[in-house]
Amino acid sequence: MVSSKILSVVTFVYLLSTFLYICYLAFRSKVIGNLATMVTLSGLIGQIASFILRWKESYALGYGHIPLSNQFESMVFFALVIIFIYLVIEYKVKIKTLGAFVTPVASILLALTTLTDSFSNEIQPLVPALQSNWLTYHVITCFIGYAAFAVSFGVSIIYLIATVALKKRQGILPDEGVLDDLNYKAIAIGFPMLTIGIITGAAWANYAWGSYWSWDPKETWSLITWFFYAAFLHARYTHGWRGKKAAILSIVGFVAVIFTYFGVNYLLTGLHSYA
Amino acid sequence: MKHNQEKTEGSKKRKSDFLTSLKLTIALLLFLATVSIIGTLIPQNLTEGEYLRYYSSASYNMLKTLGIFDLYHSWWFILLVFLLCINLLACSIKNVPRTLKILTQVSPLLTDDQINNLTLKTKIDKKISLNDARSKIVRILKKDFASPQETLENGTRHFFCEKARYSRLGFFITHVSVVIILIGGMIGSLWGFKGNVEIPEGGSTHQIQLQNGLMFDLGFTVRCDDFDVAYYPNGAPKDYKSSLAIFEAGKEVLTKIIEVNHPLKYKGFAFYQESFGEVTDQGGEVTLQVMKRGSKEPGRVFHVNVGESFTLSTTGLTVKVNRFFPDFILDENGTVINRSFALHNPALELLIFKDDELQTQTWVFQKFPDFHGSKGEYQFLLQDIRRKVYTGLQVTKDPGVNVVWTGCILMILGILSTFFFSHQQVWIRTKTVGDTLELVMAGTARKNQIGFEKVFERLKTEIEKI
Repeated sequence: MVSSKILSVVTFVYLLSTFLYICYLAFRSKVIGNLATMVTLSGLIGQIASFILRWKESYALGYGHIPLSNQFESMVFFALVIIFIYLVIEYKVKIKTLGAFVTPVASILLALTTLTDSFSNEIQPLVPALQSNWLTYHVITCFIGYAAFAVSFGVSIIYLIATVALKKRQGILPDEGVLDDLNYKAIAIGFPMLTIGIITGAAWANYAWGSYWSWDPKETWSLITWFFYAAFLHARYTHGWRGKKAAILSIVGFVAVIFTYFGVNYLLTGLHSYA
Repeated sequence: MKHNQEKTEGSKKRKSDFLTSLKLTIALLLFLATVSIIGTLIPQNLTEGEYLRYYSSASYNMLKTLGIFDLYHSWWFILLVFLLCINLLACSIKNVPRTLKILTQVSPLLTDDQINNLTLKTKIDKKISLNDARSKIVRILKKDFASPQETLENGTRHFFCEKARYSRLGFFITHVSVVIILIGGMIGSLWGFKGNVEIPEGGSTHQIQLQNGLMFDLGFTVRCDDFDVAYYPNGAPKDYKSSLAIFEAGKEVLTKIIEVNHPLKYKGFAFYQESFGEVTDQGGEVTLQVMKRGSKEPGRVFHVNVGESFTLSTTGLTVKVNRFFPDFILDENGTVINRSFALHNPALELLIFKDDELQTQTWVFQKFPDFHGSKGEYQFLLQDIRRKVYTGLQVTKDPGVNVVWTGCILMILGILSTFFFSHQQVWIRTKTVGDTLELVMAGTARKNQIGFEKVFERLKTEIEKI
């Protein structure tokens, strides 16, 4: 399939952009920085093309559906949204150092899906429970949320490096205040999206199984993540938990996100066996 | 006496402080998150026998007393959620007067006091008459910010405009929505129920079996006219469909084809496609053509139910249609098994008796009529299969579900307005001193100060150009 071939290429493009962003971090060369952005952008365009092609290929197979229906497709989409949100933030705040910490997340996701055999990349027909428009709304909102949390995770890692390890060598990493603000902003995107993701999931479950909430492990973990980020936002609002505390919290929060996404599927059992 | 009174007032105040404290909110959220993890690690709602395989009976009894096996419905979990509700409501109510004040008492006038309090402010002097400036100011504000409200006071003209004032209600709406969702959930668990029913094709029922095993009378009749499964070429199920009809006092009032994700709703009940199966005591009816092997004559046709027999009158042979397999295959051990419910390889097992003595056992395949393994002097052709299937429906009644959706919609609106909108205000005050127009411009935003500074700068540059 053409879409898979493009995706393999995109995997290497993202690995290259990770490498370039790290070079940029080391040498602070504007040329390398711009090159890194261009390479990442071309990777994103390639990935979008692959996404659309896979969608079309599924129609050619006779059971067309948006490619968001299993572990493979969701991981690929996760990588796509991470890169998209990262590029938007890079364009808005003009900070390229973030790239060295965010693009690896997408690279690893794609490398896991395209370079290993752990996830079947076959286009499968949709089982009856997945044949719903809620699939699209639910998956897209959840993954925008997850990707925003991934960005806040990357930003928090830089924050900790900037404050702890590189205290004396200023100017290499962005200003602490800017990073802290970005951490908050990413979560301020992620939290509403996670909320809508949980609600659309509940609405869908009600159509498919006749109950909007059944304390399935996936549902419960998404709620645990939601509780956690809700606590984060309240702590920031009242106690002014900023800086280092906020960075540590958002790293813990992302661990919960990853567990909600992967851990539940592999370590726990439940209804939500698709992705 | 006086001392005592002060003390009680003090403790009252502390109590209300405790309930309205955001520390409590944070503590409750983190605590709920932590205990929820336990419920995902320890399997919930298994039977006693299943638990005793993992736990000793002492630890089983202890965990059961603590409600760990049905954690999300245990009294202490519900108490925690209830506390969170009280906390949310107390915080929201405490903030109502302040929020109302902000919403209703907007000052269209830019006073000196306000100027001192605002961080973004600028002074511009222009040699222009107020009349010339006025329309330009209005145009700029309208174009780059929002329509201004003008007030004239003591010869000073004030322009005031704002954006997203009601986004300030976001907090309040979000917090109230959580309580509404939980109320909806409570209504559902108190007055809602869930049950199941299996209706054979052509059959009808007015009763469902509830989860606790009791039968419940619907007060109307549901008939299943047809059930159908469609498969993808690879054998995976594509669609389960039931044609249902509702009857009230013998009269048909509603029909609908339901499938997964498309339930039928009637009088507060919802019918979901959940399962299906064959009615085991009636395996369905098959049509068999029986011919003498090698003969060109069409022979005779029999309609017979699976499990029953028929007699070939000319020879005195009795043929029993013993078993029916819709998807016949042989497993690794050579045992006959049924791979799926789909009619991929329909097969019949026939037992042929002569004078009550088993003479031949043979298989008839619909897709392979000339199967070389079939034995006996007669050849059988499987012409048609009419299976008796039932549809398995889940039936729910949840009077709280619309309350939950109302809460969910409010939550989305509340959260979106909290995070994606920011109440922004801009004032311009103009005063003519001689031939100079003295302009004072000030502004404030609830959130995203950096973003608002850019907006303010742009407005300032535009105003400076008039």
